[in-house]
Amino acid sequence: MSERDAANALDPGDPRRSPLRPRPTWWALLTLYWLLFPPPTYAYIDPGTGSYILQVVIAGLLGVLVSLRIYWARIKTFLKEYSPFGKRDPAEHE
Amino acid sequence: MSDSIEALSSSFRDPSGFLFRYRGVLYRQVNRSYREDFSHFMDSGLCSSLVDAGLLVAHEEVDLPPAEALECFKILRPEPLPFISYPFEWSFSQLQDAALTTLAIQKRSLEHGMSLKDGTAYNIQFRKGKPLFIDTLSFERYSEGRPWTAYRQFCQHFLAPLALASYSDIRLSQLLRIHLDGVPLDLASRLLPLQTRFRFSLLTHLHLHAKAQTHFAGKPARQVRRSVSRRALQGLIENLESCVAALRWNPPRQEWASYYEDTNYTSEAFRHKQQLVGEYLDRINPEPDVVWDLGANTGLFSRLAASRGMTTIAFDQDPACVERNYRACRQEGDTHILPLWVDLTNPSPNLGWHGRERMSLLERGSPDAVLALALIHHLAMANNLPLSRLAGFFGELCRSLIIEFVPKTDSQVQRLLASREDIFPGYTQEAFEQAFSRFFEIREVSKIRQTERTLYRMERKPL
Repeated sequence: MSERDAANALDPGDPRRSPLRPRPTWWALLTLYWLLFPPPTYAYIDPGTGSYILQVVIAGLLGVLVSLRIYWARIKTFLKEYSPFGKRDPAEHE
Repeated sequence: MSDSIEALSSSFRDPSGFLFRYRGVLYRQVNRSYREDFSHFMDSGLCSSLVDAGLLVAHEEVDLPPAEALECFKILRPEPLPFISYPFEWSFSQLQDAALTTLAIQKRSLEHGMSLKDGTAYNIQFRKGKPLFIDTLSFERYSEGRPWTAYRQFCQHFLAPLALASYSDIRLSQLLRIHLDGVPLDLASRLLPLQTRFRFSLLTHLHLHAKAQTHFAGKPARQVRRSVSRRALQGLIENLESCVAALRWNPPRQEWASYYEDTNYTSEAFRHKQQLVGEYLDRINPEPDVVWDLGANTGLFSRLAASRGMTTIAFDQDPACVERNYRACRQEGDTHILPLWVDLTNPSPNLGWHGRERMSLLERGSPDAVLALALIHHLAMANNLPLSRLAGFFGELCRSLIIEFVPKTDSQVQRLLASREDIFPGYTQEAFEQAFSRFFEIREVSKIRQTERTLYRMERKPL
């Protein structure tokens, strides 16, 4: 039974079955919309529209760099672990 | 002592709470509207983690009648600070260290699910030689996607003045004295040299930031709806950190900063002066807690007071001296000296709303003792200050005074007079003693060996 059928199967007298109650797909869409376009936030110090937008752009770019750094570190670890050349000899520590 | 509750005139911006004084003690009221953020701040372990790391002022919750009962959630008593200084009184490295402390706190806040909601330099004070964050109510719960509210303020309060000092002129950091919410970015962008546009972080955080502010000024706020991921925020904070840390200012070796190196003192005279100042400090009774060293240069004599456990504020009008003093204190781990950049002939005034938001220098503290070594001939000759006015100033300022008289025959005074007419016939040792005797009792007088200078120890006459 699909979720929709399950919702329809509820007793019409059930208080949960309200004509205004959004269906799960609506919730998903609303969440997606909220994630893509979060409501404007307010603070007692005005962040300034220009500062806000610039921050979003710059932070986005810097975030990508952070991600690249993390993945690069992972790749390096991977290569060290599995490459016959990169593998460290435990005797090196002696 | 007043039994009434006096809200601090500087504490009105943040709806989360405010500072007030009750029976001479400073308290902070936390308002109900800030309840959830404050609880998270305490329960997440962020508060204790910052206090333990020496980054945030400690506080204790107290039972006290609230200052504004309807709003009150809690009353805190923050650990008292010896002196409040302002960002425009700091040297380059002090402002830089304050900026790095703010970013370190923001990083730690994010780890605990919180974020700094303001980035003003006034939230930092120096205690035991190190920057300390003093606003316990500056933390808000962080929700994923939310940009850093304090980004603009951080750039204006820290990055712009530091970049201007580093790339243009150290004196431009004094713009903070005019612009209490930090240096406007369009102004900073205009004053910075072309080369700063070729550094990614300065190009973005200052130049493009200024452009964005101008471009979006007056545009409807509903356009502002994009989010910043946690990783992006982390990248932003780390980039600001490396940008601030990379800025440099090296004090030029000229004028005052090398005063001791090219002075006419012999090493014997210098040693004798140090010995006398030390002995005079020891003989001040009761022992002073707070000493102000006016015209402290790089703080050689301030160290005599600091080494005796006295809280010493070392003022100088030359940013190079203050910078060298701070670097030396930081390196030596000196916890008793606070070097500050202040021109005595134009000390920090009252500033801000109602002229009461930021206090004038003389309202922020009263020293028990003052050191005025090799100072008054500069005030008298370079600033044309009559001896009577100088005596009146010191008489108002302090109980005990250690002061050096430098006569006209001294080579330093000769240098001051070399390029100008001597209009100071009244500048004599007799006139000096007479003027100061109006306010002080002269307790000790010693000639400094191998010089023509005299050191005095004075105590203020009962009013």
